[in-house]
Amino acid sequence: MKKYLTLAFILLSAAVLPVHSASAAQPSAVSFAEDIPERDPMEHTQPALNESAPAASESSATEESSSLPDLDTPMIFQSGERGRGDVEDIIAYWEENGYPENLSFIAETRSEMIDGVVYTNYDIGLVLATEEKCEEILDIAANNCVIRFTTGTTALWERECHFEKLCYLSVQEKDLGFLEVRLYKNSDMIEVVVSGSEKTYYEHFSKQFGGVVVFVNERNAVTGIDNAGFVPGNSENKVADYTEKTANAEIFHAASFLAVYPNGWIGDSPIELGADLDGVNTIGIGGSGADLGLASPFEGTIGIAAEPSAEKSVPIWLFVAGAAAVILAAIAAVTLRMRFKAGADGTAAAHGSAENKIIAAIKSAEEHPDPRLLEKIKDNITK
Amino acid sequence: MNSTVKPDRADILSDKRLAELIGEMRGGSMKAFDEIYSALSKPVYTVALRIAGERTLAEDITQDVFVKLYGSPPDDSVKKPRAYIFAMAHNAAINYLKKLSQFEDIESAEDISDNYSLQSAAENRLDIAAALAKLPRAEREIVALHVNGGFKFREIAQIMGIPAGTAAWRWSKAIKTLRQILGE
Repeated sequence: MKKYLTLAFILLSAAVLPVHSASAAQPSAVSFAEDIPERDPMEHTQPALNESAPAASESSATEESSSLPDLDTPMIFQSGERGRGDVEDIIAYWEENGYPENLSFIAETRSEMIDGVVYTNYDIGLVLATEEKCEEILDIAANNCVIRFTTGTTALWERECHFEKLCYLSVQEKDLGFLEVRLYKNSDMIEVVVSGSEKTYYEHFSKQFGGVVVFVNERNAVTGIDNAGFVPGNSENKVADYTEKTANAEIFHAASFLAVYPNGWIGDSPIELGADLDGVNTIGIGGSGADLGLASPFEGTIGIAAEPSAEKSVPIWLFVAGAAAVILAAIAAVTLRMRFKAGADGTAAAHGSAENKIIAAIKSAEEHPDPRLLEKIKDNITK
Repeated sequence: MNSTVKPDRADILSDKRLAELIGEMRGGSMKAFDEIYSALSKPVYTVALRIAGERTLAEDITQDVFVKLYGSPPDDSVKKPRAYIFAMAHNAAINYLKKLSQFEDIESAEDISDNYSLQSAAENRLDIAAALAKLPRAEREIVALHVNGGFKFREIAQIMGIPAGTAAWRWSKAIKTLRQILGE
């Protein structure tokens, strides 16, 4: 599948770049460095799944996508699924009990009182989302939790590793110009407020951190956020337990991350569940944001937006190359999408199934100590 | 649809219950100790065996852990007593190996399949045990902690004193190797 995407990238580049350079007078589709728009880091940047989200059943997904809003049903229920368990504050629950390993982020988006009951809407991003994992969460959350599932870029625990490393760097390498390091649990990113040009930081660090980190120049950064993050030199640092040992350890870059999540990635970018790539000319493909000259390495779909070329006379072969690129990318996306569908036949299901078999075998092969060991231990205790 | 078999904690003593039992044990309750041993002896022994590769040694390690647990139980400031106990097992195992000088470099890959004494006649156990024996020590331990101990990578990292990313990476590598060995 990677070869499909590589070929798609080459063909698309061939199709787009000559047009792009020819229309230099037009502003580029995405800007960088000084033109970075102000962004609210609290805003979740990942587009939500379309109606084929794994949490919803297939039939309800179809209904939702094709029908107008039901005026009799409060809007809050139409955008997600209600929990079936008894945990009313799922964030607090996970703060106490630990976040699921495949959780990317959880964002509380809206609360609404209906008939005396407060309903809270959540967007929950998962890595390697499957219907089963979504069901597990719905089994925990209470009925007043309305959850919309979406894909996440990175797991929260992985971002925590990067966060520790960045905190360490911000203190040890003062010339780096890291002013603040922010780890968000309601968005799948780490934000580093810097004093220099974002492009420079992307060029240096995007490969090291696999596209997890967003660099924001201080004049564009949102200020005044409570518990915003780690500020080097601040005696009231929110993160007090980063250690030199942790930060100096193996850098967890994109290559090793791909090894952990082999089915869900193309280069550094996720393929969105349910993304319809037919006819779309902005394609998520690998490579760092800096290489592609983009504002953020993982904002939604990453790629080179094709420039409108209606007013220019362009050789026909460029259109053919562009169309071929789109088709190849669509094939790759469909192939990858099938891997996310729970229960679907295919290599990804086989991979998951094989791993499950091995885990089951390991569990059943749990070893038993000699039954007389307890007696020996008690003899030692009572001596 | 294949049901997902995952390393879960449903059948493992929770931290909260374990903390309660440790409190009772501190008061001298042998019944509490029995319950802790009943719940944790097998996964602790499994982890010890995966590290040490030899049953007698694994039993010695397990014995040390539980004797020490009774003699010096963790106080209430230890929020994750399960991880604490398995960290004791990890440290005890490493100390034993160092004393025995069986491995010059504990971190290097060792194939202990020749030393591995397999007592179970079940074909599945033989296969998986033999396959696990071919993994490097650290990977064997991570597999045991993740599957048998039910720990997450972050917790495994704390138990073993390694980065969480390394724990996840080694897990992934171990599964790939096991798949190759077992032909899955």
